[in-house]
Amino acid sequence: MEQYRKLTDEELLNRFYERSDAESLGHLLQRYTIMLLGVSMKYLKDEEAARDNVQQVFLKAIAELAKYKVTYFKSWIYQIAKNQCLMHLREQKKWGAPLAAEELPIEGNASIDLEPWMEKEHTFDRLSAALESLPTEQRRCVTLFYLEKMSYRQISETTGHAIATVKSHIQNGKRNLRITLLSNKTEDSHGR
Amino acid sequence: MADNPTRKQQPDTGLDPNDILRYTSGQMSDAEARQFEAASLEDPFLADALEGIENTADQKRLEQLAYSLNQDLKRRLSNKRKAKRWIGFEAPAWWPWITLILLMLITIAYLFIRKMGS
Repeated sequence: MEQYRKLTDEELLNRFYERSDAESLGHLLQRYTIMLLGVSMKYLKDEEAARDNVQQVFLKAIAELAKYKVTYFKSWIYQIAKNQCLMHLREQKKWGAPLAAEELPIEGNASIDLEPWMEKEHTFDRLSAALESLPTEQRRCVTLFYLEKMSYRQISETTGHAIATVKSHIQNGKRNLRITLLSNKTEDSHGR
Repeated sequence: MADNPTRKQQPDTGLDPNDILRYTSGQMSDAEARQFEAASLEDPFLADALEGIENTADQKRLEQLAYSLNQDLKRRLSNKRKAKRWIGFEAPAWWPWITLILLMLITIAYLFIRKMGS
């Protein structure tokens, strides 16, 4: 049991491919049970539907891993879970209203890698200017989170905002910063 | 086995996926929580999972569901292993051939015995 815990996803997957070791596959899938349940709850908003969805994801993973060599297991299983949710929602609303935009899983990687930007000295001036352009509360929350390294709870105590509001300010601030930084970068490259 | 190149890599947060429960139940220190929150902002899988769990009224129930799903998975994989061990080879590929050969042998033996009798 302990030996499996120390192995990376890639190592567990290789053991499954090389030795047909079902136990490795079991440990790998179990690592993600709670995250898969969380994703299913986000989209389906029902415990039983979420449970069935995760069960379907496991079945699909077991069947497909025997056919395909998957390299990035985490991304792969996440995509399967989102697609299962989407199919479930489509099935549910087959004869009803179309899906609301917020119910649709977003395709592609929505991740914005801001931390490296924050750490690079040469982007400091650009970043300071972009920060200044943010609405006051967004700027405050982003600064406390990325520069002061505070947690959501600490920021909530400092600013008096609810944790959900803090999270929303950071997410929106991060998105706005990215847009500003990217548009500055485009202007710079056009100016040259 | 075909490679599937369409899958993109997600940022490796270096976090145990089960940390999510420690985070949502407030068992993390401020420094740990901040690290977890930063990771969730870079990892859409973690962010979605976190949102789903945080919006669930009864998180203990989710833990129970996860436990029963894991037990179910173990049972399913262990049944597969037992089936393989009992047969002794890759069951789906060989089982029809063995059945066919046995049927042919039985038919030949039957015809042979019948011919000998007459």
